[in-house]
Amino acid sequence: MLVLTRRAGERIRVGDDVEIVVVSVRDDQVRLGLAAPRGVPIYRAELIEQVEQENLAAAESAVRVGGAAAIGPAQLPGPRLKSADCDSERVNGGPSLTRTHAGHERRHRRAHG
Amino acid sequence: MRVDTPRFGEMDVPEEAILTFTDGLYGFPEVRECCLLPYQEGSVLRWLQCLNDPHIALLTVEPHAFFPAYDIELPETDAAGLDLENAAEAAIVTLVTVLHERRAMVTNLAAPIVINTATRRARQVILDDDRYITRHMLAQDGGAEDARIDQKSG
Repeated sequence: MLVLTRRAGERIRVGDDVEIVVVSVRDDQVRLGLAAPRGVPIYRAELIEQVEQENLAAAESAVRVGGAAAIGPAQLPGPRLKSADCDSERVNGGPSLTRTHAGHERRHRRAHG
Repeated sequence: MRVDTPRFGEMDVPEEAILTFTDGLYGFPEVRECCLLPYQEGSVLRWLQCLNDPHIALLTVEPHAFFPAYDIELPETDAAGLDLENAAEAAIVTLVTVLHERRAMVTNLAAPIVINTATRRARQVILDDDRYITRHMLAQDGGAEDARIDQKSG
């Protein structure tokens, strides 16, 4: 693993289009800002690990589950969108599923606190 | 596609029922093709049976049956990975973990499985959303009928 020492305000480039900036350092906390193209997923590593562990636990727990044998494929669940939500814009109450174009921006903001 | 599964025996899965997970599942990167099978008639539970590795089968639930306000924002990366153009073409299920010792069932609202019903592409999506965790309680002992899956009926 490459280890670099950086100060607040200094940046690191990863490849051509990912930039990491050290926003601030206080006690044992570092605030990082990440700039990456849309389409590059950015997650906190422990979140991914938690989901991996839960999936493994789910599979393991399912082995002990009984139940009638399936006859044929299940119907897919219908789209669970309130009628107003078929509109792609966010309406009162919010859709069950909204494409977000601001995902990275949101994370970026969060990274800055 | 003919598949021999430990749970359901030999099955013939019609092409139109096959879901393609191009990026696998977290913890199961080898998962590529799956199908959903009913748990019991009328149940909101379904089996997600992996076809390319028939030993993998997970329980799923329709999250909105238990959490009507469940509201997800699909990150753009994931929408692109699903070729999802229209939110109305998305179906959502979440994975279920049975806590046998506690006689309870939980579901992972933090990482739903989103299905493009038009193309049958599917993907597990990690939501970076403080409202959702990997273990939301679905039912505890004496709860929903669907929760009584501890007693092996086979």
